[in-house]
Amino acid sequence: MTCPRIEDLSAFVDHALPARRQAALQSHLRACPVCSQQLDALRALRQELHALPSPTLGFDLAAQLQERLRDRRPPRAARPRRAGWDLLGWMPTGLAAGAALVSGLWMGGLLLGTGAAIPTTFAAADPAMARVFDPVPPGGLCAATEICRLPRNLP
Amino acid sequence: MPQPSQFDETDCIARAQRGEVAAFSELVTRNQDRIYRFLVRMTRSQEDARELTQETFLSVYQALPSWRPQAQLSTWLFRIARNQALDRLRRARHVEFVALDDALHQQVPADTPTPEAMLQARQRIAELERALARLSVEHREILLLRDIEDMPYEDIAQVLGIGLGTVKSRIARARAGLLQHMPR
Repeated sequence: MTCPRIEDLSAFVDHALPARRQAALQSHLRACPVCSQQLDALRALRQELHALPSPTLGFDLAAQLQERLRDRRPPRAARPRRAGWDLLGWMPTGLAAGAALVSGLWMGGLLLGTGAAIPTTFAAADPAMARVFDPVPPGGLCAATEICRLPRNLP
Repeated sequence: MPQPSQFDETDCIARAQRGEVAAFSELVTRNQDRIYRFLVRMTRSQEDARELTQETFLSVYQALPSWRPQAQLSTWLFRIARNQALDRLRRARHVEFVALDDALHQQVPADTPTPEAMLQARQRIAELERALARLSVEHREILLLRDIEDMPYEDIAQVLGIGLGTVKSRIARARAGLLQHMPR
């Protein structure tokens, strides 16, 4: 067997090679002092790194975070929900929709000239007045020309 | 530091997800020193590491609803901490070697027999810290995860978002690089 790459020696230190490869490398190491020395250096390095002093934060981070957590958005699951909150949340939308419906019916009543919504002073006195709301033909200026036209005998 | 068992950890996270502040605090307490230890050697600044440790756990708190039990908490924590460190290093543009606090170098194994051996041990620790600091961020982070945090290759692959083959080759290159920086 030729000398293994550093990649394999490093994986050998970590027991991260497949069993057959690990065994083959093991027998090579018995016969190769160069690779054996390199392996020892890698092992010693790993041990030294593992034994390095472990700096600690030195204070209770959890206690310190409590203040800042209040400013942050809490987890979704933690958000409290009051009973019926969902229904109340839809109330403004419902009111707006209701108001739009009522005003639409009232205006529709004006255009059709029927129903109690039509003010007597406006439609009952002169039904032709409601025609000003009719669609205007292309090029036209007024749906009810008899209303829009100015009388000739203006003072 | 004792590591939480899988069952306790999963249960603790579930309670934290339900809004139990005490459960979240427990997660912080159990993991704060590991994350700080990683960050202090990534950033070479105790002040930055303290700040980034806080930011890491605040990010965890905000992202907690999206955590699923299939993911391992420690790999998730380290991924967030690593991103925080890389952002900080990117903003700093260049990183100068700053010696860690002397108090850290004073920590030598308790079984060191003689004052001479103690002095040698301190010197060796200082040399190793300096050599680590001279490595590229890419090589330093992978050695911190493998040789200090003792993380399996699979977990390292998840933290760094790389394949297993890359983990293996990068660890080897990082170790070779570190040996070159160490005095014989």
